[in-house]
Parts: sequence; structure tokens; C-alpha cells
Amino acid sequence: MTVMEAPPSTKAEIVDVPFAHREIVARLSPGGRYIDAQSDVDSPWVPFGDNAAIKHLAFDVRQGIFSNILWIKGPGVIGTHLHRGTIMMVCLEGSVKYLEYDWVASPGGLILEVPGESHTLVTDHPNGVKLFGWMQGPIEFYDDQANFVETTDVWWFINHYETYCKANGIPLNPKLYI
Amino acid sequence: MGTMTAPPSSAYKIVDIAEPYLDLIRRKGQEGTYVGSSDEESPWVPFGDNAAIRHLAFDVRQNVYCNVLWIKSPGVIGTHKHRGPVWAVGLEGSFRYLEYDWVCRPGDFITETPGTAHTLVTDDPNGMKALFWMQGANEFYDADGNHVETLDVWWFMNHYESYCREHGLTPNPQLYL
Repeated sequence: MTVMEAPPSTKAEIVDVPFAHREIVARLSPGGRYIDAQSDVDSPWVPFGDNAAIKHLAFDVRQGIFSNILWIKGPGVIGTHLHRGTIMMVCLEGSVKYLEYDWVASPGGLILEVPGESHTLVTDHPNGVKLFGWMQGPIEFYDDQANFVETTDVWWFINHYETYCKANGIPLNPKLYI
Repeated sequence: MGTMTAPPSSAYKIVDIAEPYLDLIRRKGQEGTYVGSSDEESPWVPFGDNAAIRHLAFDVRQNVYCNVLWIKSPGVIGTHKHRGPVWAVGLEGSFRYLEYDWVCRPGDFITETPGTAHTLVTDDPNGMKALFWMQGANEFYDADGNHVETLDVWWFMNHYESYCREHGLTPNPQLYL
């Protein structure tokens, strides 16, 4: 049995792929989309404390999924937190590590986190870090005495985005809601 | 560290839980669904002469579909391959796969994982009913191992909606997450 070893077509042309359910997809799919992350046109930087900001990119309330870019603007810490879901992050700029692990993420590197892990995010880089994340499920935040403070999930992230937009007269971008 | 060993409340009342995002959840959240057991809420849609599917949920964002498969008498659903995970609970009768050594009976629970291909058989005189929760693509092959069609949430939705159209039924919005 042979397997594909290269893209079967390199023609810069739309090929009409046979698929029996186009009409139903057009009617009921939320649709793929493009959200610009280089500018503030699609989504603004929303402050997260004095030294960090979040650019919200996507929310799926059915699966508790949220996607965003976390920007820590200079050396700093996001204190210990526990994940109940699965996280995928890509380091875009600067560098980041967790006090719990022995690696340091640099631009282009992929970070995977799984349910049940707690860890403490640190950037020692003079310019901090930018991290793209695709995240599912609750994150529980603790203070430096290990007292539970709050559980953040898709609702916290939507609220963080919408509250800032309201306060600054920015219209909500329907593209962020999958 | 202590952990819950029993429900922390058995009060027969709704307890008001602190929810800072209540308005947001009401505005942007998706309500949970209820599909009762009647044919009005979701009919049995024929799947060949000896089988039918009762569709229960479609999530187009995650390509998830949930339904009850009914094979009415001894029969086979030919070899198919899953690209996503499957959970199932036996409801009536029994079924097995030619590839495995177990038989799923009412109350039994099974999972199927991406990459597995198998051949569903019921030897029970009354066939089988089982609840399936499935994610992703499901590839069907003919008896010679030729790929025939890849089924996913769109096929299942089309199967349901085509039947509804042909029978003048209004699709039940409770099936659409």
C-alpha cells in the first residue's frame, strides 16, 4: 500500500473536492476564520496586571476552549497555577520557563501541558515573552501562600475581553466567538 | 489533604452558587440539551434494512456526534476505521467485534480509539441497541477492503435531516449543540 510522500497537487488553483454535505456545512458550520494578531484591529491587548497583557483570539463555549497571546513585557512571574485541561502554547518572542521544569522555551518552541500539572511561569528575558496558547478547561490560580484564589476558564477569558472592550468603547469582535 | 468522599450537600433544593459570569453565560453560553425517548423528539432513521440510528447530538465545532444504533436482528456492520475516539454503552441485546474477544451487553461500557478498524456483529436473536458517542472521521469499507465513504458529523446530520425532510418532520433544535 502506497502512502502520500508529497502534496498530490501543487497547482495554485481551487480544485472542486467532492463532498456530499456542502449545503449542510454552509448552513450549520461556524466557519473557519482569520484573526489578525499583529495589529489591534481584530483584538486589543488587554492588561493582565501591570507587566502583562492578553490578546484574546478565540472562545469555544461548548468545549471550554480559549486561545490568546500572553505577553509579559519584562522579566516577571505568573504565579503557580493548576491545569484541569490541556494546553498547547508556542513561544513567539523572548523566552519563558517554569520553575518546575528544566527547559527554557525560545521562539518557535512548542509547550504542551496536561491536566493535573501545576507550575510557575517565569520569564527572565529583558523583553519578557509572548506566548500563543490554545487552551482547554479550567486553570486554578493560587497566591504565594498556596491559598486558592480563583478558577479561570473560557468565561473568565471572555469576561476579561468584553470588560475591557466595554470600558474602552471597542466593539466586540464576533470572529472571536467560535 | 482531605478530599470529598461523599456529596457535600444532600439538600433537596437549588443552592445559589456564586457565579461571577452568570450574565455572560446566559448571553454567550450554549444551553445543555434534553432529548426524550419519544419518536417525536428524534425518530429512528433507517440505516439499511436491518438497522436504524436514533440521532441525539451534533457538535459541528468538535465533529462530535452521539446516537443510538439499533440492529434489529442478527447482522453485521462491516469493517470500518475510526480516526477519532468512540465511547459506547450497551442498551439492549448484545454485540461484539470480530476483532475482539468481548461481548457488549446492556450496561457494559466500551471505548474505541483512533486508528482502530473493526467489524460489528450481533448474534443476538433480537439484535442490539447501544448508545454511541463519537468524534471525528469514521471510514467505511466494502467486503473487498475498498474505501467507500468517510462519515463524520456532517453525514450523521444529513442522515437525520434527510429523513426529517422526507417525512415532513421539523428537525429538533435540541440535537444541535
